[in-house]
Amino acid sequence: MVKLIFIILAGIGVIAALMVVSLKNVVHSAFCLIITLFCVGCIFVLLHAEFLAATQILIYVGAIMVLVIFALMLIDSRETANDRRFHHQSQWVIIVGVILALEIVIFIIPKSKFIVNPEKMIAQTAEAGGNTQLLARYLFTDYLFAFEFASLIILVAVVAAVFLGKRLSPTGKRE
Amino acid sequence: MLLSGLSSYIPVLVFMAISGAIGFLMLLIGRLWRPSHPYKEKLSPYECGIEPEGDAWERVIPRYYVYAMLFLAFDVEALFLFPWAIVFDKIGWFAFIEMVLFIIVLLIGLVYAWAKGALDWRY
Repeated sequence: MVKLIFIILAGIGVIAALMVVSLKNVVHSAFCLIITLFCVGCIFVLLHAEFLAATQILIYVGAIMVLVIFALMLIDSRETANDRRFHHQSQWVIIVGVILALEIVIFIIPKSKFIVNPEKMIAQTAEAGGNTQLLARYLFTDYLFAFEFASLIILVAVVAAVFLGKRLSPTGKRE
Repeated sequence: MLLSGLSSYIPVLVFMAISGAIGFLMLLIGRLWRPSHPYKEKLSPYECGIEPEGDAWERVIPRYYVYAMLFLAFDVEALFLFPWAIVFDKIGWFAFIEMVLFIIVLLIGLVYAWAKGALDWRY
């Protein structure tokens, strides 16, 4: 059952991802990207990573997609709509893509440690109060520094956005 | 009713199905019910009642992007409040101080944006 849901979600996600890169209208591409990101969020739910799923929906489907669509509003998409989307680089892209995919299949998958007993692990996590609770406990004790550092990174992003937004004002002045 | 595992997401699916059906049905009923007398003015995009001017595919001022960026930053901040709320009773005042520090650092960003006038809408 879980496998079937996964295959459906993964299929929709991959098809939507292909549409992101192949559709002519950039706004349609952005909407397909929403579908892809939503499917990834649903797959996180299947993996019992509830907090990650919430993050995916709130941050990626919510905020990042607003950012992407606003970025599309900054460019003149009429010109890009008539550009050729497939050009002479595509054959090299296919070659490199196949090599990278083979690399994953040959080198990474056999060496990665799969969880031997997922049911047992899920039960243990549930006993400890669930995935989010465990993650939160580590985040606010062991990874305290990383957590506080994240706020500094967000601060840098805010300051940079405000500064660049001023610089790019229509008059060309920094105001 | 205590649901376990993936079946606890059935209410979420029901919510999604109902909200999707409402949107779809509203459009469908409207389409079946309304009279269809299209003419040029009626089909033109609605711009607060004034005559539409130019194309919708226009470049907008970058101020929108700053707003989206600020929304993203404070969205990330809000997200961290959820795990914090879960473990607050276990970790106690230590977690409280951590979160106060976190929010103060982000408040500096908000104050900066405010002071620089990024929150005022000017053309």
